[in-house]
Amino acid sequence: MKASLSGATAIVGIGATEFSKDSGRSELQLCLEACKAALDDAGIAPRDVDGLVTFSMDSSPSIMVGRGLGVAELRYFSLVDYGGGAACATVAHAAAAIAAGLADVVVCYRAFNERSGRRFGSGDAAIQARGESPMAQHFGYYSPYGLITPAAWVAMAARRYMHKYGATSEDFGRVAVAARAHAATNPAAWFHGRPITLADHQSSKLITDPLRLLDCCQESDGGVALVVVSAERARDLPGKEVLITGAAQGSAHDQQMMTSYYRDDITGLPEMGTVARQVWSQSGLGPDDIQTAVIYDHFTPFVLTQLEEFGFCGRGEAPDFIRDGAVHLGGRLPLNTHGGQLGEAYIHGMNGIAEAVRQVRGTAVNQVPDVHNVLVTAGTGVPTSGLVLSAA
Amino acid sequence: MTRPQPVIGRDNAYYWEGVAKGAVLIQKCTACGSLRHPPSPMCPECQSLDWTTVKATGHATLHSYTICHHPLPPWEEGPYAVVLIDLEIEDSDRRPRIVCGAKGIANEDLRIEMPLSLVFENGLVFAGPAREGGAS
Repeated sequence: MKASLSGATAIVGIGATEFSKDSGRSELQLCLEACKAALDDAGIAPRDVDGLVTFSMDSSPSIMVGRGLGVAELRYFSLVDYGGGAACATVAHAAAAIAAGLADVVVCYRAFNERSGRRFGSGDAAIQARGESPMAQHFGYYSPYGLITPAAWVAMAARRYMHKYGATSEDFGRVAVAARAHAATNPAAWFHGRPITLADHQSSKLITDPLRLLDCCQESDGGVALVVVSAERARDLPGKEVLITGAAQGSAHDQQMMTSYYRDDITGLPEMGTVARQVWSQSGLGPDDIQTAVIYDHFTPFVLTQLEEFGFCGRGEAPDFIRDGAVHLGGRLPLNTHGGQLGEAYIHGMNGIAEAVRQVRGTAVNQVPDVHNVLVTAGTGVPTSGLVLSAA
Repeated sequence: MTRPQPVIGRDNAYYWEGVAKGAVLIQKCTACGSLRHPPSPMCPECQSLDWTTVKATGHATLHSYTICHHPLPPWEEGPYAVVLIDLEIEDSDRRPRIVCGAKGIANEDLRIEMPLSLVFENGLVFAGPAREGGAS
């Protein structure tokens, strides 16, 4: 028998604040509210938490989160690097720590005032990077030329993808239309009640050609937390078990932070291919076993690329795969049924993991019938991560 | 706010010093001869720490591009292009890539695979219309 994390741990609690454009409170408070909500959902007392995992970009230190939760002792705390690529990895780290006996109850969290506070889309972080650090030098290859926003970094790869495969802006737009259709019926979504048409997408303003406004995720304030315990412990808790059957990180050859432009072919996301091979191998599953997926959607073009990396279709075939409603509710692979980061909120991918849990539990507002396995992915263009969550 | 200046450290000083003098220099491993960009102290192919540089000829082709509309940085007057270009290197079939600005080409005239020439200005490198004889 090969060693594997598959099925050894479970997500037993999910919690979130409201998703807004101006939370009116500190990031630490958002974080604590989300953590408390997740623990209440799990039926676990906050003092029983002994592990905390978050993003290296998060501003809430684990010791301050632990203090707020009244944690007696923290035995495991870690930070995952590379922006939104950390999302699923927080759960992977939690699962690994629990399987190794380093902790029993791990809360994964991410909370920020990304709209009312420091906006990633402003480009300020790249402009202000200075000093001897390798990452400052990295951003310094781009900032003098004004390549400073996440949208622009993605647009460079998207333009080449269009050239190579004949994809169009409308192909990207269909991803947004599906997300907004799902958000429209999700009361927690910022864009609840506000679906869009492909014509709306095509007439939205250019942000960084070929990306239009409606290709870009929101900027949001809010927090999300997830509680991970062993599968054995999960069986004794009141909620339905959501087993972690695949959990992996990935970084690939000549990996750069958002600008992996130096590989022979820049139209793939090989770091996500690394994640895909691992989660399929760990879970013993493949694309045909997935009933719905949460595919990281900071910008629409990389949703297409991810479908290709996971083998839902071949290289360059994603535009055809999604053309006839396959990613809408009722389609072959409903995507981002909460509305995604385009429609619900941009909480750096963590709200998508919560949606995957709801789909396995059968409690999503846009519930897909007979869900056994859900694929979730994290930020793209960066070293990334993914999960497969399964019913027991 | 003025245009950000390059971020220069020990590992990449050769690159920006070259650009300031009107040349794009690409790192070349002394041990195995492979080219690499962006700069790294160690050869990804053979792990040698010994390297030299080769000078790009000044001819390039457009690999990809984006035209940035929003947010418009205060040092730009309107939508501007950023380009990813394949550099010609003398006596090599490798085409290392760099990101740079565009100069003297209308945004709507950019086409992937179009030939370009390097232009140097104020310590930065730009891609301009193709011309005979490479970089000045």
